[in-house]
Amino acid sequence: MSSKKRSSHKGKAHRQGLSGNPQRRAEQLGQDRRAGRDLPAFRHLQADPDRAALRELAYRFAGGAPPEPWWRESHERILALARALAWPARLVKLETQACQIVGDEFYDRLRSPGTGLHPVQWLRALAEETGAALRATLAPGR
Amino acid sequence: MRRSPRGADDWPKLWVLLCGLALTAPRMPVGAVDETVRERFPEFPDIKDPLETALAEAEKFAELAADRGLEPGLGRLADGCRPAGEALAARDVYGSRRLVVAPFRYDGGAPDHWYAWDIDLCWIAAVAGAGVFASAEDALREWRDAVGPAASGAALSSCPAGMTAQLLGPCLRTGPLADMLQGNEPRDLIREYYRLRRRARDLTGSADAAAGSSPFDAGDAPDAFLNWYAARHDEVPAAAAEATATIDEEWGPHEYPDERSFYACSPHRIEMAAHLIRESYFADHANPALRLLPEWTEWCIERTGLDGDAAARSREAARSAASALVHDEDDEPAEDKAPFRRQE
Repeated sequence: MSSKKRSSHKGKAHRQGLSGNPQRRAEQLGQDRRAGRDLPAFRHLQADPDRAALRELAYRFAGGAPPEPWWRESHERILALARALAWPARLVKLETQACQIVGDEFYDRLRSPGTGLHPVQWLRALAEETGAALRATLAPGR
Repeated sequence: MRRSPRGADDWPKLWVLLCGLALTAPRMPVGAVDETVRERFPEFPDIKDPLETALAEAEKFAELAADRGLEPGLGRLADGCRPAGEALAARDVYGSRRLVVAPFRYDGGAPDHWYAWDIDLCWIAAVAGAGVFASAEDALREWRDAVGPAASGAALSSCPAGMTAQLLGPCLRTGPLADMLQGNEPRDLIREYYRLRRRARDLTGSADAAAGSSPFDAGDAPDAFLNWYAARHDEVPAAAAEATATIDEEWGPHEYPDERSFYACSPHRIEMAAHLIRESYFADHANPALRLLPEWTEWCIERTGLDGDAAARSREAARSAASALVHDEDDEPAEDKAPFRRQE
């Protein structure tokens, strides 16, 4: 029986993580494999590529995303803006300003080709970098 | 002397940024709050929850600051912003576009602001807009302008907890598909990407999307339509059943908070269904479905009692969709260039 569908994809959605496109997914996993050489979760599996690939898939589906090289620069832009702006005292306005700074960076990266933004882990890394930058401001010698 | 851009005096600004992150980072589902991400996935220690991380970083800094005699302030971040009353909802004349709005407060105080979600049910259920408003009326006014004439008569009414959870379902998803993006989301929506999820989780708490409301089961819809069609025509073409199934497959999000949302035949939903049919099917299968869309639309109009300009706009959209047929030798159908948050 011939297929009545020209393609199985529905519309225009795409995930900012592991791609549904097999070729793109293979590229992503390859990137992760290279980027993930230093990740403790993968280090002991380098001798068994099949098992490592399965584990990487599980890692992705569990919500993991190895940090991309551009994340740090992206977070630095947010921290620089936070340092430069005046912050409102009212909590909801403070929230809104944080949403704008973070969201504008997110939006710009979303429109950059091939950045592989993972919203949740990118935000988690931003929280860590903000904490580290904060502690550095009180470091002895400042 | 030039002041260092990263001197000891810039900690207050970084501190408020961290507080902003802690107040807007998405919260885990209620059932999982006692189970941290690290406990759920011990084999992947680098997977961490952003809210947990922001709170932990805030705690670390607060301790360090206290040692230096500083008081960062901003109170109990872990509680964050909480609902201060029941949600209200409004719908457009078709039923495919919904507004959910609810009051929020900080630290047990008086209601501070309202948060609103614009839910579009024309394709997959999606948040088309979200943000903070001074009042529910302000949110309604802004939403009416965005949705256009179809929402000009919309009014707010109480929204039961189960219905609220259903409508906010797109903001409550977790797991690998939770961060699905269409790619053309506007800047204003991306700015709210995290907070709209956080507020939705805080509002719905443990409310079960299936409880307190009766989602509409559209399983019988194709047969009901074919019976309606047969009553109006001397002859039902053999291909009508397959064409009906094709329309049904591409019609709306497949999960409906109520009956009205299934029969909603806004021009936007008709155009979306036609777009998906053209994109997904070969001409022999797409074209009978496209030609049947005006009848399907008429059926929906009758079921909802739609009339006046709203019905006329639906009929026109269906006629227009039926006139743009598929030719297999054509390239891929043109991409949908409509704005993400569009009028119905």
